[in-house]
Amino acid sequence: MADFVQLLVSGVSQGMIYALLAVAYNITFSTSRTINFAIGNLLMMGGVVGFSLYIDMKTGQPLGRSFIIPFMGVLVVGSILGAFINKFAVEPSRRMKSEYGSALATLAVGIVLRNLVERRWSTDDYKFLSPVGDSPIRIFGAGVYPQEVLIIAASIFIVVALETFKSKTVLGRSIQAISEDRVTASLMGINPGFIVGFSFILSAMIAGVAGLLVAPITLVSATMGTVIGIKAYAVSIIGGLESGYGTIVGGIILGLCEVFTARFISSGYKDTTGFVFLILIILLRPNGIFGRKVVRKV
Amino acid sequence: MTPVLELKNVSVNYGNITALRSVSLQVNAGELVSLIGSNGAGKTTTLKTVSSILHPKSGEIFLQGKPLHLLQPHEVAGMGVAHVPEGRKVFSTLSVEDNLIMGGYLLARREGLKAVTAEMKKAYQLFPRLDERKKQWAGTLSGGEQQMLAIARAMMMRPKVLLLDEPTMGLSPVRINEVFQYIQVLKDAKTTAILLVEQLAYRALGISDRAYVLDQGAIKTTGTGKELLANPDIKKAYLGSKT
Amino acid sequence: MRKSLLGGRLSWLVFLIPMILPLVTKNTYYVHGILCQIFVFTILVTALDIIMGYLGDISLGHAGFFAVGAYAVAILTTTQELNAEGTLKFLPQLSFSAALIIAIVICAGVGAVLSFPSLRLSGDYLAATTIAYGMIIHTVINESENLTNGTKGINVPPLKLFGLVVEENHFLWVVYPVMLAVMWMVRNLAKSFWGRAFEAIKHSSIAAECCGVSRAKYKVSGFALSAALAGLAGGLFAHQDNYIGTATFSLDLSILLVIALVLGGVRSTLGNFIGMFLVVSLPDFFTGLKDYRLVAFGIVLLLTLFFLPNGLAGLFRRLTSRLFPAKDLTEFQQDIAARAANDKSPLFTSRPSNGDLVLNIQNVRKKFGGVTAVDKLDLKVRRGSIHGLMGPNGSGKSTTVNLITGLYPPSEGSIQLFDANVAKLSTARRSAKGISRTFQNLQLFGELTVLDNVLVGLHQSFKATLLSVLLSLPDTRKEEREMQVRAYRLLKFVGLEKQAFETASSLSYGQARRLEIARALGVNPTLLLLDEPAAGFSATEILELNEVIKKIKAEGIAILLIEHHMDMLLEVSDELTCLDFGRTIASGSPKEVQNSPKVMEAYLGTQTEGVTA
Repeated sequence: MADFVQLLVSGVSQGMIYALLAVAYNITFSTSRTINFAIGNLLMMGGVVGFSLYIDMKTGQPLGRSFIIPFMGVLVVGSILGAFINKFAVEPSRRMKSEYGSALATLAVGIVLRNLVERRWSTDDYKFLSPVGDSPIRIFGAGVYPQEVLIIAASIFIVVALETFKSKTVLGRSIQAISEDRVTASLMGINPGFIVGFSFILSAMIAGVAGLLVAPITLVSATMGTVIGIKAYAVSIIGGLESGYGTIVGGIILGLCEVFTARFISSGYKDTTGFVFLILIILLRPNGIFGRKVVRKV
Repeated sequence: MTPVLELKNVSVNYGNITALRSVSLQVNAGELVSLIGSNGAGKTTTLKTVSSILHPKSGEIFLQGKPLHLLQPHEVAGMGVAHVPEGRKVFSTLSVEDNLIMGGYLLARREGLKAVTAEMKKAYQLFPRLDERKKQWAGTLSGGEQQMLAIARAMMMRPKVLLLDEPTMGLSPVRINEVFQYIQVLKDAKTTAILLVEQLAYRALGISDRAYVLDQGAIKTTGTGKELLANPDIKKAYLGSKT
Repeated sequence: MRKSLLGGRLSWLVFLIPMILPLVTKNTYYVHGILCQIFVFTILVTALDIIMGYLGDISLGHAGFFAVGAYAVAILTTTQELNAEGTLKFLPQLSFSAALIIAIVICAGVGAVLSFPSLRLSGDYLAATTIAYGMIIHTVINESENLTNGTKGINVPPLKLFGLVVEENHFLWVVYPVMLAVMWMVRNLAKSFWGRAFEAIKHSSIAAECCGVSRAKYKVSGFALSAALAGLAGGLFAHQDNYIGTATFSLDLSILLVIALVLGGVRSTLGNFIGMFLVVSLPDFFTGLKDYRLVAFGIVLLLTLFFLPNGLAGLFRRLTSRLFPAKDLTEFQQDIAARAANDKSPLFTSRPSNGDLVLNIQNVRKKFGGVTAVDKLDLKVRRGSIHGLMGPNGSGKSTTVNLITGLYPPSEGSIQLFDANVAKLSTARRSAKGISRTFQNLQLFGELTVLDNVLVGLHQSFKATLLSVLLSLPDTRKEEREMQVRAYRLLKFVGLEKQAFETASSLSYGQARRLEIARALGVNPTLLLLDEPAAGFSATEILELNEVIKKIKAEGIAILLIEHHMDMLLEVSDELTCLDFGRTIASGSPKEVQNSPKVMEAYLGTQTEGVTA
């Protein structure tokens, strides 16, 4: 039982990180119809920037600052990178005929970021001491890390806030309008360029926060985003590329499958679960399990 | 008096095809002007060019004397041009109410949400059926209702000129009558000038103040609705010359 | 034709120069370490080019195929002694050539299986699945320790060919000829009907299917072939250092391959080489770059994508075409024109058939969701006649065409071509049976020449096997030449022979419409569907088109003509049908239909109904 609860909590918290990244994928997908393949490395940037602002690299001990500082730092760096990716990778690819322009361009930005971090920061792995403590708390006899609880709570808060923003504000609704029909939305006076840029900034900030949240559980390194980024893409598709709540369910499914694979099959094949999910889901249900389907009457 | 909307010698190309050849037309305040012609004559192209979805190769477009042809679509909308596109194009995954709010996007930015709510009230008075269905996804409305919504959404912009593209396309005869009734109501209200593109030429001419006939991308004739109804060229443009 | 300075026929000797290197230098770092590596990886880029350049898909998992090839050769040839500490269990110890052949076959199989995502997906979805399968292969290799030795890697015995041990710089004598052979074969493939089929699918798979090119067959084959070549490269790579480890075959390698391909320029074997050469050698020449190579190549990729979309090879082509503008007609082109002039064989061969009822559509219905686009449609088209189809926008005309050509299956009813019900056949199969079409919005293969577009239409007439195409055997070349002559004659038939060697995208609108007709005629149709062939035409152009249509009719081909220009329909049709809301509202002689009150109402609305507000 204790074992099970422990697996459950760690699977769900892992799944929430996927859900956050999946939401980050979805926001920019819905406005620009492109997949930002740099998302994983944006998560890594969140982890690295947060680490640098919070922990002393040499001693591995906290610098003694409030956690607000790394948090704000991640938001600022995230928004700059989001705007950068939109301006220098996505917008130019829109002008090209190639179907794969934006995929390759965002992938290029991703590897540039990773390589820069490797060179200017470090190629090693670092432990990120959790701001909420690293000693497990006992729930049903299971040891649960406070950071895992923080991840679950923060992720749910972010997803709910975002869904509310999208359905209750004029700006949020215009994201949906652009997503459905860019040209018609522009006929209402909505500036698609502005909305797309805004969505990239928002998306990069969410990815950065996800990095900050996950860092105390994994380790901080230049390569921490690569695999997680791809697996989260599977979740974004399971969730149906535009549904926020779907990504939570998708994330939990994948997170749980992974911890159970690692526990009962082999930890080496843990990541493979996500990749197999990705291929199967894309092939079988490209609209996702929670994707909206509307029958249009004519 | 400057016309509300004026096109001067507008030519448009699609790749190697010339879609419009030196089209000039005017719409004056309070007028309902229709643009008729057979399929592929360039009617939709004309409207898309006014709202800057397409850009002219040469020529100029003015709204109350101010140039439109160098702007982006959202800027043209900001100037006061509302375009109801062909095929209605309601946002099908948004509710009816959200669709109207999107129509009020600019109004919300200029005057705040209160103004949008007030405008929405007017729309519901004009189209009570939308009020009944305001929480439904727009995609679940019938074709006629979607057309109603598309027009109401455009009116949320308090436009100076309303561009209506084939509002009856794909509708059954009963619904076609309804749509012409809405257009009549808008015309009588005189709040906006209307440029109507319609394939059903006789119906359009019946309610228009004036009309232009497009043929192969060029204006062939123009006149009042009544004059053109009596003109045999209209039928030829649609059903061939050798009748 | 220009003779090169080296004297034409002997210029291929240039390619032998690198073969001398092992004899004149003992420098193993550059010859074995760098150059041989470039050769091996160039094979890999050339393989990737088949998918990205020709088929227009993407693979960010090619390192996976490369790994399968390398591991297959390593596992099948290695010995226990070389891997004393390892956990290797499976040690058949085959010869290199046997192992290589098995590796290639396995890779082709894996490639065929992994081509399935590309049949259903494109764009970012496909990119993501290819990343995923690359990573799955990587994980499986890492984890299957009994087979692959896991992270320890496999030591491979030195390469032995014909009893001789090939070591260090001598390795060039193996990899360089193989690379040249691969390049030569891929070029042969690209210039053949296979290459055109790939291009056609890339530009418009619908138009390709309508020309009888099966999208599935060519995509699966293309992926299998590409994976096989990647496997070949992998097999050679196992002997580059006589050691392989999992770290090599990462996502980064797949990305570097794409960078080399994009930088060098797709669809150019020389570009493939140059791209790989730069990717391998630049970090070596500029040591400062070594640590920042991903930054550098990431930026290079962005710049190439946006400023040099055809890569260095494209830039090179543009410069040479500016420096040496093409002459009027080359020998080759004159030769085709001359042969075409002398060829008096019939351009269209009649297919075996019964009766003269070519197309018989009975009670066909098509629903999309809740909407009935076509309802209870009956339509008959007779041999050597022109049946006009008209109706307002959205009345179901295009749906009808798509039902006949098989782009949509009908919800109900039968579609018969002569006596055979074709309602369940694929588009490509129907094309093979003689149903051909043009498109309302042009679907030409823009990057191909005008002649090549018609050659795609002739696709089904090609009989050569893949092997003979790869090796460019004399029979294949003869067949190609015969088809070129036939394509040229078809262009003459529609009056487009002067443009035969221009690229299709450079044609004027009217010429492009004619080319679509010529391409559709390449199928040797019994039934030709013309979907608004005169859209956007001036009155004179319509008159010219009428003549072409009458000429086709005179050849005994049945025509279904969808048009809005009434004058044209009245001029050429034998029978006319008018649709509205998916139903037939009038049918009969053109005059009857034109004067039908129902037609007038559908088109103009009624004058009498006033607006009752």
